[in-house]
Amino acid sequence: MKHLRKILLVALMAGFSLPASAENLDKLVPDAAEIFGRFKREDLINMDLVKDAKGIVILNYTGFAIGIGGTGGDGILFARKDDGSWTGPCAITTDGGSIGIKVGGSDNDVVVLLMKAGVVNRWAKGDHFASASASAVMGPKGGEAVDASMKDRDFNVYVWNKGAELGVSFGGFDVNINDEANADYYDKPAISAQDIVSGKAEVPAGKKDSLNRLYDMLK
Amino acid sequence: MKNKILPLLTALAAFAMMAQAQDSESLNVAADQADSMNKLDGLVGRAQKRLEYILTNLGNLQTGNGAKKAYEEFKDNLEDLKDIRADIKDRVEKVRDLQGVRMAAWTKEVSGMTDKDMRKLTNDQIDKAKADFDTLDKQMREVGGDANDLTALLEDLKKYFDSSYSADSVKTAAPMVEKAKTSGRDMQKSVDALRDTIYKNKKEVKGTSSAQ
Repeated sequence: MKHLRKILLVALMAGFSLPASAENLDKLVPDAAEIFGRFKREDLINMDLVKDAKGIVILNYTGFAIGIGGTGGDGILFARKDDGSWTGPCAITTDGGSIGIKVGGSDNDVVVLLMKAGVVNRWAKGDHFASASASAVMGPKGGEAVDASMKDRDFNVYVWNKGAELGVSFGGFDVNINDEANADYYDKPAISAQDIVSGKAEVPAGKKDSLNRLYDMLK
Repeated sequence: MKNKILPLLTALAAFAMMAQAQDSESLNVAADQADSMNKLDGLVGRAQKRLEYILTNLGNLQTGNGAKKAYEEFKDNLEDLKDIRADIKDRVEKVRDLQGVRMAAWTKEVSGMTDKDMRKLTNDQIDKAKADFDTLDKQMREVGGDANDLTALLEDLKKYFDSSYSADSVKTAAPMVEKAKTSGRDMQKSVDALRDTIYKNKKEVKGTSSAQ
């Protein structure tokens, strides 16, 4: 009995320290539309700045990972193509460090506007973002004036937590490419994140309908 | 001096009574209604996600990308969508009921006001709140009607595939699948617009509640 209790305890602790489970893109895309839709509807995000962004990351952090051994988030990354439209989605996860979580909580939505092409590529490479290197701050809300410094930042970050806006503590986290989800979605086992963010990877016809809602929101 | 203070004190007392009256039933109901609208928005968001999954399932069915799995998922997602829609219907009724209760309480509170300018001011606010809600209600009915049609079409597709599911039957049903996808896409736009209206209404209702 004692032994069983020990096993259960270890299993429970291991479960709590696991990173958030990676979702597939068929679910991540509607999740991202739900997240971004709220930011836009409630004027929490500045759409003028979205128009200038070279990339966008939409993430959700849920579960016990927050506050117990770092954070884990599931989400997608889009890059802006030369013609101004968006590439297909690239599934990512983040872990370690902190992104957007200053106060804490168990369900946080995060939108990160990537203002430079080089920064988009770093995300697509699955880079590590040290807190010292990230010149990230909260982005301006809808209706607020956008100045040149905001466009010149690496990131503009927006965080939502069950109605409460949180401050941003940004950095010390790793980006991981969810290769499995990308391979499933694009039906190409060897697809890379670079293929997706460079616009080389074509979104399969059957997936386009679901993506269009999000693309419309990003306009 | 005494002559001037007395009317002033009377006016202040009347205003205090009025404020006390406002800080009562209509305000409490407004807080409940804003909360109910919030829950409605959450349910509608869940329905939108299910519809999005269904659109992807239908797309995968047509392109043959894991078609059998897509068909199974389509059936599950349709069931989920129907369940969520039932919850939405209940929640809409709750929001409507609360609107009725709130307007009745607010109207009753106005009838207790003695100053006619104050009464007019508040009655104008009530009229605006009624008009705003009527707009929302009309939109909810329209979207609800379109959602009934779409759900019926999806249900028919499910019945059709239940009786004969094969690559050929998928091909034969292509026009109906396309119709469902187009309706689904239009539905998402209408629902996004509806959620904008819910949000605006919620904000206004919250503005008249004590739970700010």
